[in-house]
Amino acid sequence: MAEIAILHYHPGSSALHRLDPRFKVLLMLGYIAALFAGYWMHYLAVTLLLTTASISAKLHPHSFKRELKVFLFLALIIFTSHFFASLQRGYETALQEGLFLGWRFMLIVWLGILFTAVTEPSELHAVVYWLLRPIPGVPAGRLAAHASLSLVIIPLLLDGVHEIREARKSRGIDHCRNPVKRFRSIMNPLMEKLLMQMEELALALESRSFDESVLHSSLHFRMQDAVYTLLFLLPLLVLQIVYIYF
Amino acid sequence: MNNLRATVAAAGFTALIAIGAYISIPVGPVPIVLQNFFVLLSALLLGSKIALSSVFVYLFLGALGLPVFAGGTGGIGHFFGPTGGYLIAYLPAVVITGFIARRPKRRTFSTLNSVFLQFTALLAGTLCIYLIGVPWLKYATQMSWKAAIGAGAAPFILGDLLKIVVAFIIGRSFSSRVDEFLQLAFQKSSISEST
Repeated sequence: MAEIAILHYHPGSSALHRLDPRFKVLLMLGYIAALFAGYWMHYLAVTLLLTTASISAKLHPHSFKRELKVFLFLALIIFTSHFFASLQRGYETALQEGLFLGWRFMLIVWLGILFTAVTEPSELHAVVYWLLRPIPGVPAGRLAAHASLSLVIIPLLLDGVHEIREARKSRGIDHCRNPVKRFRSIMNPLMEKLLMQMEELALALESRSFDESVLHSSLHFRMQDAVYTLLFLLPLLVLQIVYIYF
Repeated sequence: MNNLRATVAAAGFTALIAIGAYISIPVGPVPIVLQNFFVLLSALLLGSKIALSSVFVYLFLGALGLPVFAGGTGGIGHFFGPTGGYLIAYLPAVVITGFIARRPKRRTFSTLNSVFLQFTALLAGTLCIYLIGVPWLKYATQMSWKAAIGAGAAPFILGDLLKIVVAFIIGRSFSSRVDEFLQLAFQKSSISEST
């Protein structure tokens, strides 16, 4: 169980852990916007900032080794597909395009891993509630509970997928030809796992008389959080301004 | 219906749709995704109302930047990119699929009719995704109609037919258990209301 560490919360007490979750979301959105601006200097800056943030949050790359392998493989696929797709525009452009898209993919994944590693589901609950509350006609409390519960279930299901893969491998049924059968042989155990997970979670929540409208962590604005966020966004802002004017 | 169980079920299917991102193969501008399979499945099993909130929260988490979109990416920029239409289209698709597929639950239909209805529902949902996704792709990339269909629809039709068949089979074998999961709650809440 829990061999896959991705999108799990890693408890800790670093500055990043204690940062107001609203600022974490802001940072994440800022970084993604910078990545979609698409200059290589931005990529480099985000890579450096993420490295700093990961070190300050005391996250060891060891615990992500296996997942990183999977993502490197996906990045490789993205690289090759974009490389061949833009090959007619010249070898060098194609190489550049592929490298950038693969790099960007890894950075976005890293960002997601880091965010979930330092944000408790209850904090996310509070943020989603805070974001959706002003919109009329949207049941904010319910959707917030829904979002944080999904984040609880995602890593469990990913573990499940991993288990199913291993079980199939060990039984040698990975080479079935019939596509419908093949598809079903993965989906059936996955659905089984999901239903089990849902039942367990529902029972656990009911027995603790869980109430969707109760927030378990409150948001407090602190000046130091704003300063910290600004510190991590400033290099990107400066880069953007430099690119616009020079 | 008990709110808590409905929320848990919706959260479970949101997680399932997000997991679909990690079982996908990126090829060309539009990756082959399992997400639409799970989206249709959630509509089939949960009905349009709960499935809609499932898909909404999935899109919301993606917009916040969590890596839940195809190929393990995320970010609000996706909605404005060439494949944004496919994501937005999930919302009307679950409403349509859920609405058509859950009709036999209310009236007594023969098995043949309900099979027919479920297939129609799945086809309608898939069609809805294409009807919004392909024009979006065309306008976002300034392709011709022919090129947009060639890149955004034609390569996936076979895969989508396979997905429809499997979604139908899985939907049938698990619908009673999902109903039980939700129904149990219904009985409980009616007891608590009467006391």
